[in-house]
Amino acid sequence: MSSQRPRCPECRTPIRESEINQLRLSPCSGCSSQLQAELFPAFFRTFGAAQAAENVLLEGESTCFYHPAKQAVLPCVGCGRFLCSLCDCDLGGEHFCPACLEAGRTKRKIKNIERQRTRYDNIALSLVFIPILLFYVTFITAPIAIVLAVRHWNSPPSMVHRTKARYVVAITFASLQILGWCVLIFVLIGMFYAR
Amino acid sequence: MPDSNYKRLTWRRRRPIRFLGSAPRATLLLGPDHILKVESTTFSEGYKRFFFRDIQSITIKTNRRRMIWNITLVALSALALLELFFDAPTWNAWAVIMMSMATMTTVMLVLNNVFGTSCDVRIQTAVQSDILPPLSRVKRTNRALEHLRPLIIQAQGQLPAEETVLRLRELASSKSGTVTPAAQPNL
Repeated sequence: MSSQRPRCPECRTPIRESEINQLRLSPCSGCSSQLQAELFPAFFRTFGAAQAAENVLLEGESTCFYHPAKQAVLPCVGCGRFLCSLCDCDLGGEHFCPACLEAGRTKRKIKNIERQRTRYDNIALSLVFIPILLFYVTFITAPIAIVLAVRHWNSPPSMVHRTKARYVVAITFASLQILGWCVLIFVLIGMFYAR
Repeated sequence: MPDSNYKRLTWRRRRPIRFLGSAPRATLLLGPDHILKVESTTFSEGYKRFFFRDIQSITIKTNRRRMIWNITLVALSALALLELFFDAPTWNAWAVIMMSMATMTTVMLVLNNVFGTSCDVRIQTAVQSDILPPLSRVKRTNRALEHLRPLIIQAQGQLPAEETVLRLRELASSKSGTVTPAAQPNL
């Protein structure tokens, strides 16, 4: 159960019971801000102590992979190993062992625990367009942008923008910059030999 | 276009913090069993998930953001119009700039009021309490809540208003030390 009654975010005054779940704004008794609070049953949910793993009583009974003396209660969704209630990590109804959970986090196999993604498409795009201000830097940044775009073409994209348009734009403009440099070098060499 | 498992709940909005330059922009996406808050900076995205079964409360509090914008926009518009008034005899480039500025600020002023009262929305679970920056207007928030409410109720069950009051009283009395009969669960 939540430790305290819902409070006004401004003045921390507890919200009146009669104003909760009314689906309309009403003034806070402390600061007169207009408030609307909606409580859901999870607010009153109590959290019991963690379930202790049972010891194995019968010979031949399935045991936990990590605790051979403990009774297995279910298999891990990731690796299929038997787990006791101590090793069971419930994630949105799916049960994982701690090792799979950790591997899922680092290798990004489990989508629901991913907390961050790098926007390689934006990095590539920035490497193409920002250095234009100091155009000679594009000699280095354009190839880096292409390598980055090609290397991360299949990396998990943004959750919000899932197109590869930025990669395409980055590769196109970086190629044009490289082409520009090639032409410039060719012309300079031509001028040097013309003398 | 968001991930195929998600539907867009709101458009992106900058987090209202002091250093606007470094403020991440937040978007809310609706997943099969959770709300996903995506905070994007230029080069990375951070994710926070609020599972429907864990959401304890959603609090909306109005703020003065709309009023502050109204005052700022009216002041800017008035300045531009005043400048335009004094420059009217000599119609030059500066007057055109002032006229554009007056038009732009007036449009923004109208939009600011069309969007309705501004607010801060806070979502609470057992382990965190977080602000949802994209829900910055009461109208928009109520529209989003119309989508969310059935999903949360489906995940948690419904608590009648009278029972909520009873349970809150029980909670208050348990904290103060007096004992009252426990409310019957009706989930």
